[in-house]
Amino acid sequence: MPDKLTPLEIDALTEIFNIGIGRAAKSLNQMVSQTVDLTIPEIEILPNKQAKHKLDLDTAMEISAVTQRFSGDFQGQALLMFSKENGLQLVRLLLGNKIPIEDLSELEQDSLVEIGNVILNACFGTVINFLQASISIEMPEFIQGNLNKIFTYSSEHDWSLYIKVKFSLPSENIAGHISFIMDITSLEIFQESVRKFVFGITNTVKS
Amino acid sequence: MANLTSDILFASLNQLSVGIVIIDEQQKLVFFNQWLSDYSGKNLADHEGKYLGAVFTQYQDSRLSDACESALSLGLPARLSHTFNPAPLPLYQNNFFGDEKFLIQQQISVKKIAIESSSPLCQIVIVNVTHMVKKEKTLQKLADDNKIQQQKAEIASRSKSEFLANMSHEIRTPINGVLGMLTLLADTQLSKTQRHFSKLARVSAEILLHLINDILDFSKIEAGKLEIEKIAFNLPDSIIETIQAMAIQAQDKNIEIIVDTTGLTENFVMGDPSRLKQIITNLLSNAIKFTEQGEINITVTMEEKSSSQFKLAVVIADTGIGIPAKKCADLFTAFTQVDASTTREYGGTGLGLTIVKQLCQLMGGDINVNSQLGLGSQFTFYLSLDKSTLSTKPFKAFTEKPILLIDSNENSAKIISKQLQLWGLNVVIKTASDEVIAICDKIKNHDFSVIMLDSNLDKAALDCIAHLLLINNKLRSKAVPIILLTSMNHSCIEKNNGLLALSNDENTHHLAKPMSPSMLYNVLTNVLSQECTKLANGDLAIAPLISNITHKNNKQAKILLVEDNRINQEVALGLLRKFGFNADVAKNGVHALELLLQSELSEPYELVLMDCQMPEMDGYQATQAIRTDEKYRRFNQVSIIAMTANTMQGDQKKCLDAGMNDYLAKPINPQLLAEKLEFWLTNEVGNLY
Repeated sequence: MPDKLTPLEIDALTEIFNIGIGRAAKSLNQMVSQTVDLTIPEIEILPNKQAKHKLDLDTAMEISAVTQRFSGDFQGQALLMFSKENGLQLVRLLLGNKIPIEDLSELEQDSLVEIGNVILNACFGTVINFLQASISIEMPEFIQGNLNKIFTYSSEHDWSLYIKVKFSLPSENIAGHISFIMDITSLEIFQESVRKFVFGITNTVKS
Repeated sequence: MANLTSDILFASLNQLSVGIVIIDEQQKLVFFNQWLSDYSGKNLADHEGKYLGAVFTQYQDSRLSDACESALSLGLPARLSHTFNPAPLPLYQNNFFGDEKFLIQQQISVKKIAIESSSPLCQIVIVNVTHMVKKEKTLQKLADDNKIQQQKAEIASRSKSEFLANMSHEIRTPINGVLGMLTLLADTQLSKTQRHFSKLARVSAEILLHLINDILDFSKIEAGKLEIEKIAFNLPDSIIETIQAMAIQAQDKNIEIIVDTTGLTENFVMGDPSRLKQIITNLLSNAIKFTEQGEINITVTMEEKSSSQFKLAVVIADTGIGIPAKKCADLFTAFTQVDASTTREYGGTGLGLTIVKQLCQLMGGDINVNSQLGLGSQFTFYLSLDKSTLSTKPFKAFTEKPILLIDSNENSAKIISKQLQLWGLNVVIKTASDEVIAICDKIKNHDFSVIMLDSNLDKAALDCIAHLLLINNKLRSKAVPIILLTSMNHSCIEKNNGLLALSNDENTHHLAKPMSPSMLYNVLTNVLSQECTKLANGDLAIAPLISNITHKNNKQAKILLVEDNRINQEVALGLLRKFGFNADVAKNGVHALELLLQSELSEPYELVLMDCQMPEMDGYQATQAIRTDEKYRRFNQVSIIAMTANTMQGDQKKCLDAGMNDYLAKPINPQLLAEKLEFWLTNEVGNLY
């Protein structure tokens, strides 16, 4: 089992992801007429099983998710997940739609994919810029289903970088969950990058 | 792959039905395919190598440009949805270049092309989603329309129930007048014809009221506004009471109603007794209505459904005209009767059975029917009832000698005997089919603890037996007590002299059919404990109206009647006079408060009958003033009984919330008024003034 990140490292990670997500918010604000504020209140690295519990989503509940696969220095799958209601609500709030249909229409799904893409790209960008990682990233896809169908991983030993995202709109707060699911080797490399980065900063400050 | 030349690739890209644009690191145009050329009206040859923003000015500083930049620098792929970016590039349909109306709706993907041999390139893929957008707009419009329709329907349904509530009030007020006046009219000196007419008028008015109640119930159920109560009640007693109330109708037609409650294992249960009553009344009145001769058998059983619930099953079987099999299914649908001629002959709204079915379902059960044309119908309904913590004292077993039961009806005899056997009594049954001589022989030569005699036997047999019983008791050292089973209105006794003598004999006790087990038990206990005084409660005629209520000081109670409607004033005053009261009348809340203030200290009002809806000041406001305003402190505890024609859910609560003590629904039921008067005039709480 990999060593846990120190609180300092977690702090650093939260900070850099908040910078990235801030950019995503800027893009979102340009896209929609509303002011959207994005914050990351929580980051954690934990085994997938626990990450799944962390999501706090009922296994029977329908979940809407946007996913992008990645490979390179580390590989795995990034997921942005909402309860179906929350996803629907977010899209409708951003689009100003008031359609009484219980499902996301095809075009609405596409909108959610774009929102997810902007946010996940911000996270990927952060990782690439700050952690000097070289990864190649696939196109975003929309998936819907229950938690067990969406939150899949190849083995019990996979780990997750779990990031909670809060969407603050003028009228509403909506919670989304990001999970970077990685295998253990990828995770070790990832942690190593984080340590190097933190070491870099602390040394710069010291010198 | 070796055969895949760049010529082939080029041709293939040009045949795609999506747009492909490839730019280099400086976002200069490397390639676009034929599709893009078709929709943009531009030639690749003219623009190759130019900055994309120079080819399409919209591209400059756009989200698409940002996305391409991120793709080129960081390798981040991007998806631009139509919703947030309707037309990032100036692409038009059908060569209508430059016409805004023909801009195509686009969905764009941006991805880096990473090839080791060259510097990075970026590929933009454009899909035409115009048709999909159109489709979804139509869908949205349909959904919106649907919602508007739904809202309209809800408003319509709401106004329907409001209309019904208002109508109920408006209709009840005049019916109150009609019924009240007819009651008073019947008490005056009338000729035989007049009496007959007034009776018919009253019956019609009652039917009208019944119809209105049915329609109200139906609309309440439809609107989902009917609430089912959950209170503890005595199950066999409330079933028998309901049946007894209707037995006179059946006995007038010489139809025997036989009730078997021996299958009830518990007396007290939790549920809605008034709705149960409504179901039974409805089914039984149908049974009586459609049966010309024979009998109606009612069998009640219960079984444990869970640790907290019972399943009650009631079977009501008649020997009436029956229902054709194919009509049985429609029976419970609103406004259907077996056929239109049924309605003409037998009357009814056609709502009764619908209400019954819905009530059963609301109480966790259902109803079904079995019928054979000409042979009779059998309705079976089920309900769920909760267990109650209340329980009655169990019946003690008797140890006495056998009972002789002489009944006109075999089924009835069987059920009475079944009940008696449960209490440990042996029963010898003789029915109408037995020879009178054999019955007389039994009476003479055997020793019975009690002899039960049905007064509905044929006249000759009854005469004979009655005489024998009288003589037999005179000859014996110890008289055998006799329980005479009568009909609800004792009509058969009056017709028969021999029976009259027996009926008045001191050894004879009366019990009206159909009887409840508890009544039978009470009569038997009294008879067998050799209390030979005639029992008042063994005589089960309907209790007479309370004719005079004695006041605690034997002094005229001072009553204030607050009522705006002249006719209803007359009705209420007339009824009060009948019970020996006079009352002052106020025509609205303001007037009532004036009269209360004017009342003398030595002679305060003891009771106020308060109408709820009145002009100027209604009953709720007046009550609130009396209860809370300092000015009226002197009489702020006076008993106030609301009289209202509002019988929708929550009206009773509204009255009590306003500070009234009690509640009477209009049309006013004289019996109920008498009871309430008696209660509130004799139960004054402490010293009030």
